Amino acid sequence: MEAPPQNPKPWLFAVALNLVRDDGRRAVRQERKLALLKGEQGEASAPAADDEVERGERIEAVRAALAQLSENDREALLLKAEGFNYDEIASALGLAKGAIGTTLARARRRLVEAYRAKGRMRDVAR
Amino acid sequence: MSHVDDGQLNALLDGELAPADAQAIEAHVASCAVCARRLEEARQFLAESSSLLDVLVPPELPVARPEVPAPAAGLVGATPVAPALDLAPAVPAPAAGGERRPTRTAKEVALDIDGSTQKSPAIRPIFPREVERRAAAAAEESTKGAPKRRVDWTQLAWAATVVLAMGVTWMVSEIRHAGGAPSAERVAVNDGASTATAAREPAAAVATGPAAGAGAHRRAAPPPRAVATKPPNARGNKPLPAEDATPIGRTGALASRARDQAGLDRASAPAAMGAMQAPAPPAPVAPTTPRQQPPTAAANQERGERLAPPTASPLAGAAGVGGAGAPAAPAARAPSADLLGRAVRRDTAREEVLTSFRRITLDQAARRLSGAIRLIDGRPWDHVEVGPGRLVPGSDRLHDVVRVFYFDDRGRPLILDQQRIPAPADTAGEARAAIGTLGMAPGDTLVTTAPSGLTRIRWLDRKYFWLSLSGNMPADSLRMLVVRVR
Repeated sequence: MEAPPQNPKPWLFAVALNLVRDDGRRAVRQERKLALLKGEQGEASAPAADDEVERGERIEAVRAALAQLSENDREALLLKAEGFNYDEIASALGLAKGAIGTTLARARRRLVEAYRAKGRMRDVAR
Repeated sequence: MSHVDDGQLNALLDGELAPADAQAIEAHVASCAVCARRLEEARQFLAESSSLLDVLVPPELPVARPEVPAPAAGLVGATPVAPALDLAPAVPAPAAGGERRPTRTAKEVALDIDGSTQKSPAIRPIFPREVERRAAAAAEESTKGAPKRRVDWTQLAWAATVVLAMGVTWMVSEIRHAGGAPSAERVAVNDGASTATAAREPAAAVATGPAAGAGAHRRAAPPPRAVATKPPNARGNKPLPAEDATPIGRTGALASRARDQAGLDRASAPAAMGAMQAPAPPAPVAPTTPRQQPPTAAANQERGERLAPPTASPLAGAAGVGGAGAPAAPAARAPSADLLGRAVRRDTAREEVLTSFRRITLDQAARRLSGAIRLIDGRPWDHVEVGPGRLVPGSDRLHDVVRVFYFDDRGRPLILDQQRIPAPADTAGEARAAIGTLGMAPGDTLVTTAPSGLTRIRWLDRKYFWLSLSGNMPADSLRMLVVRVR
């Protein structure tokens, strides 16, 4: 039996990411739809309908932009957004720490560019 | 120093560089316009990407952001193109005392952007802490007591109605069984069209004359319970209850009058009725099918011969007197023309039954049924009659019906009607016509219950025997007898 990792957090997330990948592949194969719970928006602070629509569109655009990233770039970006440091991200993704900065730089630029491109297409469509 | 690559610039912005490396890069950026521009560009990408990712977070939840390291003092002061503090709006610091948002994990976000699961960011991972919270909430709720259930009064009312109806049905059935079915009910046995009880008394008065007075006299008579106490072997000449043993025909009127004149009680009435009937010399008749003959078959047979035509059925006679035994309704005391007319019509039909059905012996009946007659196994029969099928509901109108009479311990009549329908092998056309008349196919069973309580089970067996068992008893009780018909 292997000794427990010194830093369990990135190890745990690496395991979680592997599970997520497996799960995603299985879902694609079986065309399974995940049961999604209703959003946790509070009723008291329910936003206006226009804001809600606009926000929904923006969310869709961000997701579409994220989907255009490579898997490594996307996961590095999301892990960073979750508060992980470079060491942890490197451990989770199996990359060198020195490559994380480059990966993040590329991911951020591509995300923004993809989002802007989406916005331009949307504007043209309107 | 060569230019700083994007990775180092991002590491600088993310605070991931060692202090010495950070100082070196800051120094270079301060002196290099290209790197300063690229640093500014990287800062903008960082800020914009962070704001984009923030969109995915539900707005009411505290947004967890990585802890932004304090900008190097030298960087801020050294160059205006590296305002690390400017990151603060784009990458807000975590809320005071706030912890990393537990409801949004990398797994969750990754699922969000999976091609097959592009749904909402509202996928809720189940965290142990949340499970504990839910369990605690459930426990707290349970300690407060079970939540009040709303009473659905509509359903309750329906349930009460059903229970009430079942109870009433049971009570009526019990009363009917306990008190002996009023003879008016028995009209339906012989004459399915006649079921109205209230109109029977005037009908009886019109039809029978003397019997009407006798009926009034008998009204106070107790129910025929005493009959049931007789042992089965003493029922060779089965004592019929007063109502049953009182025909409206010639012999019926005579019998009732004789009984009234003689002051006989119910137990002895049948004997008196038998004495009043035209005696026929007893002729021993060999049983048609020994297996079908009950223990008292010989006695039955002998009596059947003795009571042979021209007497009408005592049961059929009971039809006319049934109203006399029934409680007198106001309409009966002052019969209207319509009521009287209906009574007359009913009485006409009854008379037709009386005149059309005649008693025959068991072997005569068997011969009419092509050699075999069906009887209720283990139950002594009373007598056998034959009449046209058109007078028996549900039968083949083209053929005669053999009618076997039984009486149960309470004096209630049971009638086993039977016909033999020509099998398709005999004459296909006739059989088809008969089956078409019956509306039944071999193996079919039809159970009907009239408002009067008369239950009739009709069936056509595989040998093309049409049978009908009728009686004033619940269908289940009648079914118990049906299975014993051999």
